[in-house]
Amino acid sequence: MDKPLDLLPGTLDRLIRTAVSLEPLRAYGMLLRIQQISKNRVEIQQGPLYPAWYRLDHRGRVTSEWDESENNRTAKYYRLTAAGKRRLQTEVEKWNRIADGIAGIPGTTPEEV
Amino acid sequence: MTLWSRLRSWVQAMLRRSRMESEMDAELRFHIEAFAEDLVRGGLSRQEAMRRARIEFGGIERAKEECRKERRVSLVDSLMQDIRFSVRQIRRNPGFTLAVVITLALGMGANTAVFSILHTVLLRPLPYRDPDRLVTVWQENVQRQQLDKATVADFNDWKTRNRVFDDLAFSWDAAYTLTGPGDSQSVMGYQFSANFFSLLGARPLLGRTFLPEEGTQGRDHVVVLSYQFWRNRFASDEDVIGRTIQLDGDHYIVIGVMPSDFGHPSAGTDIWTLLPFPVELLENRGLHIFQVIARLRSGVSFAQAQQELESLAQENARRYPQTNQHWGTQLKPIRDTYTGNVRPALWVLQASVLFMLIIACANVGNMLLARAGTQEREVAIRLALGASRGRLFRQFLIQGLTLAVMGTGAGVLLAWWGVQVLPLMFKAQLANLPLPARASGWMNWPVLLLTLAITASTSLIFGAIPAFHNPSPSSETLNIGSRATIERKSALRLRRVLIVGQVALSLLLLVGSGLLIRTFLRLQARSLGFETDHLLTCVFSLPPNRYPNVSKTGSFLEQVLARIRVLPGVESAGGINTLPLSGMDARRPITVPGLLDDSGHQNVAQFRVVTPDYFRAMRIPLREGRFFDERERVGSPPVAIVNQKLASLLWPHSNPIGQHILVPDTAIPLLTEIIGVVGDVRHTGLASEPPIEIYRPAYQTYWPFFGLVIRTSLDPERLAGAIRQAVQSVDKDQPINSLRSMDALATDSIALRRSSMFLLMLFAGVAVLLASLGIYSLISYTVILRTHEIGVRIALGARHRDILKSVVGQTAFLALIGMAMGLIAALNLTQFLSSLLFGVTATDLKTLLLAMTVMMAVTAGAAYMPARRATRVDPVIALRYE
Repeated sequence: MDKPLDLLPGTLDRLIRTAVSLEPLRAYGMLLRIQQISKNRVEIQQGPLYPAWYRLDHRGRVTSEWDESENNRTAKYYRLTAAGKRRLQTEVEKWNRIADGIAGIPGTTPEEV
Repeated sequence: MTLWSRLRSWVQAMLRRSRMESEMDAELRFHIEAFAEDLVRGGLSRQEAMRRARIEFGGIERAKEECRKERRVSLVDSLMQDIRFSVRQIRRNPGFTLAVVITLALGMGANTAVFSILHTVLLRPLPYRDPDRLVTVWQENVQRQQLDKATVADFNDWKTRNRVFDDLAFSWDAAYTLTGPGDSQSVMGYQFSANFFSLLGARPLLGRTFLPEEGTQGRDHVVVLSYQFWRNRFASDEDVIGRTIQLDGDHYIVIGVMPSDFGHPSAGTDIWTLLPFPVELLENRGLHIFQVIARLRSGVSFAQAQQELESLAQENARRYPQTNQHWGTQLKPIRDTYTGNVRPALWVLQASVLFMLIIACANVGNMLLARAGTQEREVAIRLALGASRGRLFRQFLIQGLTLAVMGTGAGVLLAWWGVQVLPLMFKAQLANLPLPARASGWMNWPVLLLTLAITASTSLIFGAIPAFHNPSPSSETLNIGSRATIERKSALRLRRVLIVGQVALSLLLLVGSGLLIRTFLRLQARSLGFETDHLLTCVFSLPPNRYPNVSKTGSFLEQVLARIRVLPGVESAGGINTLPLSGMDARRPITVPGLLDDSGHQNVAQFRVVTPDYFRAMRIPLREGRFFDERERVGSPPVAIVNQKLASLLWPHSNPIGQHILVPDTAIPLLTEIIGVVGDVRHTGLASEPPIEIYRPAYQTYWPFFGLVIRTSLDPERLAGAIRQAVQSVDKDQPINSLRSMDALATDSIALRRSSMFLLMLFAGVAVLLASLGIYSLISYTVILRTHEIGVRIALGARHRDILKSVVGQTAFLALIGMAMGLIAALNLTQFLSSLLFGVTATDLKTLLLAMTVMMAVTAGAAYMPARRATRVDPVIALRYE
């Protein structure tokens, strides 16, 4: 397993949005989901996760509700709102454009310029 | 939408604090437990799993705090904290808070109150069309430098020959007796030419104003009512238009009612009637009877109009040297005409309250700076503990704001009170203005807001200073003892500047009030020429239809006086046409046959018509000859009494008794014998010079209105009812007015000066108190700063005197600089007081010295108290600060 990567600023919000876009999740489950998506290459500090949730909630990107969890306990489930989905869409597109651009750079040879 | 959801989440967070907290708790607990369960599944013991989960999670409280911050709850939280903190601070220092609040309130309240009056009286446009184009026109006696009303002939010249006015109108005061419908009542009237309303541009509330054709004799029995009179007498009945009322027994048709803001020439005017042009006086250049108002033609400047009328006057002086030789013409803007004597007083008061506001702001700044000094250590500690500067700044801002809110609250109350009380102090003056009576009791809100902004920003700026320039939490700042403060050079410098300014302005106000006090004492030391105590006065007019000639008026007076004289408590009673101090006035040109006045023109004397007992009742002394008595009846040879001033003017070297002069009772001069000389009377008040006067007997000379003077052995006001009854027992339809004691009239005549003096004294007192507070606190502060040093000095054997000198020295120097500046300011500014002064010059040396002595004494007192504390420093305790 590689050494976990440090997060770029602003990345945490995006990761949360991506994770929660797939299905409503509770916070803990989402932590696992992010690790799963990133193939364990990204490790998330658990403490800052919650302020990030509250921030997204405050901005109307996610909503939350209380529901039964798999082991019959009530847990808070987060879901992406329509605004959150739109925001994710544009960010994914933007990210892909940048990633495309950056991905090409290291392998560039003099002949290609 | 996002804004909405943010707001909603914020509101929810605010409203459901406890729910959010418990949910947050539950969520975090769930997280840790779920994590621990996973770890248990990985083979750890339950206890160990919980421990690991907590470690992995990090600080729970910190996570919660960050969550709250994301919800913006913390902002409100800390705001509430700050407010609670400043309220606690206020409770802890009630003296400090009270001082700041009172200072702010005084500065603000006084300013708003005075400016509200000033604005109403001097700045607010009068309720006329283009009031700036309206002027009053006067004839000016160049020799006496005195403005006078216009003669009918001169008015006619202006009217027909000027090219600078759109229109001119004439008027005079008139008193009427309303005899019906209903009870009879005296009404204040104003009688003028038909074009008067249209010249002013005043529109009626109901009905119409006068038509041009109504200005002719015979068609002039129409009347316009004032709003007040309409409301009180006719209960605001709109059907009053077209009704007939009886004025002095004549029938008048009500044609209009004026709106409530119209009160010309004064608030007390009840009705307006027409004054047909007196054709019989068309050639008369001796009787100055017309008040003239004119509207400047558009494009014509005030100066141009003045110039044109002046050249007309010069032309008339050449054509009619007998009457017009020493007469010029003066224009006055309409507002100046009515506010003439109040204006300087109001501006002086406004300037003083402005100075007081500056002093108050300086004082608040001073106090807050002093407190900032004691707070520096607290600030340093909090910075060291990680408080952000923004947070500290906010806290100090809120402290300042709390004080400002309390101060302005008290200030608004004070202003409201002042706006009610000030008009009462200037009642006599304000009643003479063309303003509705209640207008002077209005608060000026823009000014209230302005002073509010000034005082609030003062407490904010100075309150926030400790947060602005603060030391980094250095070991030095943190090390000092808990009671010590840090000397902050810039703050101290600022405080010294404030002290100098305060002392300077206080001295200025002291000098101003000192001058007014001296003026007042000078006036009090003067005599009016008669005795005002135990003297009751009243006035009434005798309607010409019922009292057409001297035998009627004479017998009325005789009967009324006879009934009054027998009343218990009455010593003597007399009547006069123009009661002194009442503002009534009548003049007649006089000439001495065979004796040409050296200037070659007529003397105009005050013309008095009196009953024989008038002089005894007034206690006006007889200098030569005799008083009038029973011999003076209708048909007996005409006689007159002159005052000393006229006697010495006409016959400086010979006996005036038995001499003859020509004086017109009405229009035709009458050869009259002088039978007595009486003492001079200051007819218009203590500050005036006695005019030349000629008295004619009331039983020989017709006059349509009279005043009574009744000398009593009791409190004169208590006889008012009996006097009214006595008058009405002679004529039940005869109302009498203004039953007042002569003392009250005398008080009114100096009310402007007395009120100005009282207020300026008050403002100066407050200013001096504030300045001394400033000095007190500055020295207290330096003493605290230097406790350690003083302790060392005392331990080393310094004497009390040396300590005092070193503590007070600098402040004394500051006070001296302040006084020097105040003195310079006083020498330059007190000239604006001169119109209010009497018998003292604006640069009166005695007053200056006295004011400086007072200021010096107060300063010394304020400095001495804390300085003495310095000499009592116990070196052992002082050195323990180390």
